[in-house]
Amino acid sequence: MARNEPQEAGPPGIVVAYRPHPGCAQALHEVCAGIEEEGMHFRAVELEAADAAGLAHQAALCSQLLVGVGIDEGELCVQLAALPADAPLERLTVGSDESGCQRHVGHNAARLVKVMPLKGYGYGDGEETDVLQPGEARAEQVRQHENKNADAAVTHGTTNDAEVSQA
Amino acid sequence: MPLRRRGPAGGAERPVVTATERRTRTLVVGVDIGNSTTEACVASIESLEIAYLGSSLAKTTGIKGTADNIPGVVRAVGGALADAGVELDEICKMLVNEATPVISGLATETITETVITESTMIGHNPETPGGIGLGVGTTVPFDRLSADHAGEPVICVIPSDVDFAEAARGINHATQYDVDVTGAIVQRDDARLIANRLERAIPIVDEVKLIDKVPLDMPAAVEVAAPGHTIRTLSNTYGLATVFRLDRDETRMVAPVSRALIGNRSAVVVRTPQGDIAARQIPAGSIALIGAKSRLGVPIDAGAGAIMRALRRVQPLEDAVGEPGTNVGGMLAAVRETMADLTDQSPAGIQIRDVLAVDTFVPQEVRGGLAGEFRLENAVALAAMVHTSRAPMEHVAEEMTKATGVEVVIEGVEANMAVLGALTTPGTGEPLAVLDLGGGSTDAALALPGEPVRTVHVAGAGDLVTKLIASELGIEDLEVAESIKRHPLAKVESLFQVRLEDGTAHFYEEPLPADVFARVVVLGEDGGMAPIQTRRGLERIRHVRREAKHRVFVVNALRALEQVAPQGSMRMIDSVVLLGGSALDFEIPDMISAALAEHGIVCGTGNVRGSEGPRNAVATGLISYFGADGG
Repeated sequence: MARNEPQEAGPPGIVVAYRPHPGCAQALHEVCAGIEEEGMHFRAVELEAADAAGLAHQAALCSQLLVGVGIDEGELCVQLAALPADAPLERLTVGSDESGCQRHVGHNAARLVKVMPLKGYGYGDGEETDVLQPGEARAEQVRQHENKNADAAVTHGTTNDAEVSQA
Repeated sequence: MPLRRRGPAGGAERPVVTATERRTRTLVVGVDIGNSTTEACVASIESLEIAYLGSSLAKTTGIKGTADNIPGVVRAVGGALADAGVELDEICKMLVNEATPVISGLATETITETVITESTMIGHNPETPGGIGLGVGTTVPFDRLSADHAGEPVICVIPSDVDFAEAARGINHATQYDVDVTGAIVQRDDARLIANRLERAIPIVDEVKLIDKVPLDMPAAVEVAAPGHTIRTLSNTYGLATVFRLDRDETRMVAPVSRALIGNRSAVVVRTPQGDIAARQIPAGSIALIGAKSRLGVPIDAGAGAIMRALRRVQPLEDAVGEPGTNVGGMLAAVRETMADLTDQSPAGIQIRDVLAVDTFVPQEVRGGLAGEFRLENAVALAAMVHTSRAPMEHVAEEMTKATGVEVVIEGVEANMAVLGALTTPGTGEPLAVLDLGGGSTDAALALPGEPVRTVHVAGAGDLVTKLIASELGIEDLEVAESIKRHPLAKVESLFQVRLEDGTAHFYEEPLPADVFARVVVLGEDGGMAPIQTRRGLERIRHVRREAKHRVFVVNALRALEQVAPQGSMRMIDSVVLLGGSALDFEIPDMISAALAEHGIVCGTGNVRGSEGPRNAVATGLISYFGADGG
């Protein structure tokens, strides 16, 4: 990691608390990548708690930004210090290959601090973004465009007629 | 719209119905079937004394003036009876007015279109692009990044199966082999992760979902702006010309690309030199306005101002015809056909008596070498209104009798009834003008002492406002647009706090749901909030909402009053009472009052019978008219 090496002190950041388990490294990697992509700092710590919600709650209390992530076997939680300990803001049940979703947990923890709409709630995830359409699609559009031009010329004639008919 | 009922004080005044009274008094129900709501009012009439017992309203079912209205009528009457504590079999007469046969249609017609067929561009705004600056080079896929491209500037195209660490390693490695990677296009949301791991900062645009559609081995440019800035080079026509070394003619052709990129934080342009580029005006058709004395043809793309000016010149309008084969033509034909079906007349017998044109803009997909890219195109929204020669009210009255078993009497012209109802507002008296702000049309009536009530219906009202809000914000769901129209906005600033559009903050004891966090929401009357699915900020949405209301209701209020005023002089109007559903709006009455104050007119929202607000005026007027006749 270039910038966000887990560390004790440093700039204000989100605390990511984990309890070691198989798959922990992968989850931690994804969550931290999500936070880093949002341009925020984080600190990963190993803690003991009953479950992911408990880890997340402790993590939030440790964070200067009051936001924590808890990683336990089978579950990820995002928590804010102000919320009840047993009711984390977000709870993700982890399957085997959901690295994208795990990264969203990191994104959302960071977005809580940045006051940006959270990912995975319907909008903004790729809206107005899919842009390219060259190749066959493009050729199709060129054809349509040519046809339209032909139509347009005809229609335009009529428009002029209408203008001429002004009384 | 909440049902306005009498407060506790009003309830206490409610007459106590005794057994003897029941025998001597006449109980009547006034029913007003409007375009969007059906209102009913129950009253008892004893000699000339009228006691209003209860009122109610329901959504109008079907198109006004058809048998489909009956379920709505039954609901409204039932509600009013329940409110009054009266049984249906006690009612001796039901009163309905001669419905104004007014129907309106709406259409939006774009008048500009951007077509790009030469270059391919990615003009999106990923939330977290990486790096900064401008990179120019040939597009090369990540797995072909090798010494083959040594000494050459390269834009690296990275698909989703490449992890960010691997991508960063690859780019760093390529630099060692003298391959000059000047920028990157990434499929996943990885731009900043990659940028953080590079030895040399390059601009990176990410979240490009259709990465396999990026043309390879083509000259391309990637630009990422500094935080808070927008791109400078690719959004500038001559910037693009410099990057791709274009001559004068080629530069003219790429101008639409740069224009479409204005305001973006990041962009990619890939030059694929074939075909052509065009941004042109679509011939949007023209509308012919036929007045009593003259006829004017106006092309729709001349804009709303030109159409409205022409309309004033041909006033009074006898018909309007859209150019066949265009959207305008189709829209006016649809209005004609609906009305023809409704009245069993031939479409040729239906005449359009008013139009309201409003300039607007519509987010439209840019046609050509790119898909999914939206650009605001200019458009004209048009509301048209039709008068028919025959009111189909007799039929509705028959159906009402069938459904309720009560005798139905048709009497009174709607405008007169509205004035009578409005006059029950405390502080009013003749001469009085009434503005009924409805869903489909805005109606004005002016009562001068000793003169028949002068009345006019103009096209465009609440439905047009909703439509403008929906199209300008690119919202497909009209329900959402409707709630934006009706409620103030707020921005959720934390899980416990919202900032209202007036700048004040509101705190909550319970955390708000995650789906509204950091979003712009509409605040419902029940305190509930619904997130608005758009990237636009609160200020922008508010502006669109207020502009839409202003361009429809303020324009129509002035237009309608001018037409009923003696000699068209607004100074002759002394006071105006606002009625109808849109008079309950939280800002429309203020906008109209402010505009009318400039003409020295006293204006306010009606309060029918001192208790009903701007609702129930016609139903009340019907009873008041019937009662004055002596029952």
